Amino acid sequence: MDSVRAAHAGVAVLTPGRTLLVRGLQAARGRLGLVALLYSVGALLSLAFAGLLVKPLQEAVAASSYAPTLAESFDLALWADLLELRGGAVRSQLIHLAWIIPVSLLWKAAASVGILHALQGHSFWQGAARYGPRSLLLGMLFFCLSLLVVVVVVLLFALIGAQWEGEIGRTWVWFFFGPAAAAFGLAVVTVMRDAARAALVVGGRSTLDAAAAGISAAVRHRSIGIPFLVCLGAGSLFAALSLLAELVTPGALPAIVRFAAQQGMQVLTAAVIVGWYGCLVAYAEAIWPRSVPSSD
Amino acid sequence: MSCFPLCFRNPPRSRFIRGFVHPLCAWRRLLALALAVMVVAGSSAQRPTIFDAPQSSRIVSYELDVSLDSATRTLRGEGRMAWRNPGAVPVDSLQLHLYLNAFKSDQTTFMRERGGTLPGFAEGWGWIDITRLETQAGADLLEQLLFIQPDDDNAADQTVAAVPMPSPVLPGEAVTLTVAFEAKLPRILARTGYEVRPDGQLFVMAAQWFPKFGVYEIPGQRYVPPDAPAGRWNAHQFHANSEFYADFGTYDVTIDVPAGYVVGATGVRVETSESDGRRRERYKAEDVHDFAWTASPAFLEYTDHWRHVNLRLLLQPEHRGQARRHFDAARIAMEGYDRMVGTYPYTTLTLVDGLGASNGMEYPTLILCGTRYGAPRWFRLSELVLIHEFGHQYFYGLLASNEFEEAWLDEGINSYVESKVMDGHYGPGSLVDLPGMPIGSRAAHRLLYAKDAPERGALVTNSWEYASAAEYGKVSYSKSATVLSTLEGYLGWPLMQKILHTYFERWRFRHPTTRDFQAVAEEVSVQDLDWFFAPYVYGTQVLDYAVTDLETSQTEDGWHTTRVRVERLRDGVFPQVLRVAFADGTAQDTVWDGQLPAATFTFTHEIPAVHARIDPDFLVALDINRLNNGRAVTHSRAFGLRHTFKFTLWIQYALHMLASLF
Ligand SMILES: [Zn+2]
Repeated sequence: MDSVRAAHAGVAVLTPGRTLLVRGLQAARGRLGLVALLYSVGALLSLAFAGLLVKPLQEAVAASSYAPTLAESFDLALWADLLELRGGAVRSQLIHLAWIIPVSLLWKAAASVGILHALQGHSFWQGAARYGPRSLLLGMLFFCLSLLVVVVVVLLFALIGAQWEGEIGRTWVWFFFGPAAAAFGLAVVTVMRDAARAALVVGGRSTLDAAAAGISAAVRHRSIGIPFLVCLGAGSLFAALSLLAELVTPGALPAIVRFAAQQGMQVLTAAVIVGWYGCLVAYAEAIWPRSVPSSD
Repeated sequence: MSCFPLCFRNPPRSRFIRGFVHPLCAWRRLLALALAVMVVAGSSAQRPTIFDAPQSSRIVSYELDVSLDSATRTLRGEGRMAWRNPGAVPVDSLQLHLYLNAFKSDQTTFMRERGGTLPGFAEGWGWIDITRLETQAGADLLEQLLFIQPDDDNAADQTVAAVPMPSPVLPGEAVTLTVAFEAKLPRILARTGYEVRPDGQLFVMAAQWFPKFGVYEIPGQRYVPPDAPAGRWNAHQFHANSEFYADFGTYDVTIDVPAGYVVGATGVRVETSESDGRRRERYKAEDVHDFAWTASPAFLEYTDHWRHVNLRLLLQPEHRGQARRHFDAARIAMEGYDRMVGTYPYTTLTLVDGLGASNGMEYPTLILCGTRYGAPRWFRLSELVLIHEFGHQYFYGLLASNEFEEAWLDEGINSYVESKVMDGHYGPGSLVDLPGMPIGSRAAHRLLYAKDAPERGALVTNSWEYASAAEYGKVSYSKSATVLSTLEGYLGWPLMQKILHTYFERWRFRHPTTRDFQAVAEEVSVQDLDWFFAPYVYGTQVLDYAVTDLETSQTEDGWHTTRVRVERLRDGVFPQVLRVAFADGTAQDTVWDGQLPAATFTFTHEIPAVHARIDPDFLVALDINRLNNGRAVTHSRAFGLRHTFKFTLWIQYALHMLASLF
């Protein structure tokens, strides 16, 4: 590959975004096991928590005769009565977030490096175990960077907002430009973090080197932005289709069919995530080739 | 907003529309100009109402000339104000509202009840000083003018004044006073005052800006006993929670503002002129009980009409795209109230897009709506406010109840009709029209009442005696609307509409009370309604019925017996329909008077029952818990399944979002 040779020669060139996308697509199609694993863990966690939240509500509704009404449509009066009666019980279930959030974050840190490792032809679990702790460190580091981005955006737009008086200015600043800038900043940090994990796993860098490499990759090599945007677009499309399925006239679609269709979108979203890591592996192999082959 | 309807249907009158005009409309301009000339020529002939004869008793009349000093935000007014003694005995003293004095210090009753001003208010105090008050004979009344505090003895409150007369006003006679006053407008804390736009342009909402006569109630009027020896003044201090009460009359007001200001006011504009950098507009109003006006150089002006009514919209420039939205809502309001209540008798309606706390307020033929730049279409707050404030032309403007003592007759009946107009036109998501989560106006009122201490606050309560502003709002608006929804559920809409219509026809241009409304309801429905008014209008009883048990068994002959236990869980009593639904889709209804704490009903049917429900058609909106109104024979998993699936999906996306940060 030309880009690999150029990188070997120490010249920073852009790996064409299309090449990366092709590698990503191959990864998503070729590693259905990874897709299934990623989807299953998220779905099980969500299903478990949803069940915990719905249980107290279901107990109150089951014998009320309004279960079919509430299943098919929104009724403000019934929901208000229901939450008045069981809102406390539902709120008490939020305690489970105390384990669900850490577990999902730990899983994210481990799974991301596991997938990167697996896409190089090695074991997912070995990758997760070997790079997981450092991936966690990177996650925390870039989470702090995300917070910093949000704080900077808020301060920046507070300053801009102070200059731009009147409700038109305020509306655009706080409902459009501000959120757009924050979203853009967070997207850039996401690319930095994921590239850093690729530098850690594929490029064999140390944690700090990987973090620096990730930051520099997102800043210097815009070609990595193209597959990111494509993956983001695909994920958004699947989210929109899920929402659309949610809004289909109740009764027109049995609950189980609607849920199956939405879960299909979730599987595709998991495939997009694996594809994104595939792009990162291709990118990292081109930019940060290992001098010593991996021992796996 | 399409410019087409605006430029074609709404010929500008004395002032050319300052809003956006699409180039495609240019070919119609000649026609518009011709129409404008015709309208201007005919405007002097336009009457304030559709009637030739006086419709009210016209106790008062005002001829005032007022000038705005934009630099000091001060009004200087002078003129004549007359009051006629409607009683049978001489009256030796008059009472005046001087409501701008509510903003005079932090010790006024309004400020104390409100809990102070706002940050940055320092320069914003307001007051009204009468500088001249004389009879036509030249007797100076100013020396004798005495501030009184009929509600709370707060000596620092100067919102009501008594004026002893040198000689009593004889029955049927009118006294005319020559008056001059200076009114410093407050920064808008509530309803009235001035505000400076971010671009430095001034906005003025002049309400309660002149000395206004209180209401002299004669024996037999409202709650004055028919055998009382004399009438009595009813003039309340300006309170934080309540609004107004005044007598009907005529107004002839000339407003003088800096040139370039756009003015809107109660009544019909009959003259305009501009000279020496000033603009003067003269307005006449008849059979109204207040006069308010607004002025700002920033206003965009749009016009439209509905039947006999000329509509003017004064919009903040930030909201220039929302003119059509306002006119559409105004038409929905006017058609709705015309159909449900009666004919709007005035020939003008001015819609004002004010600033801050001036919005969401009503004055005769002038209402303050308010909107936001980019206000989403699915959240119809602007429409709700406009429709509600227009409704006050009926329940406040024409049916001029005492808002201090019986706010529910204005806010409550109006909230009830407003929710019917909203839900009737926009459907179940009339207020919030989000897919999958529609919220209607009636449902919102029921929620605000039922889930906020429903046992607290009776409809008939002095406004300032509610425990808090929130309780005043809950009771006067939402509980009242829910009470009337329930009455409609009991009587049926045709009877309820007849009640509204009869109440309107009988009491318009007068000051009806709760007693009068109940009398009309009883007369129209031909039944005693004390059992309803006592607990829910005058009292604080709470209504909650439940189906607490449902048993089915099969008899030897193969039929099925269903036993339903119903309970009254609170002190409120209301007759209830109990419906048992059977597996073949049929149902049986029975009526329970709801008097006893509990009752058991038995149904025998050849098909087994599936569920039993009390108030199956949700007609008893006052029932604070609807969920316990039903009971099913078998437990359904439909809700649990559907919501486990739904919540799972939302949590999956939440976890994706969380993971994207880590
Ligand atoms: Zn109101």
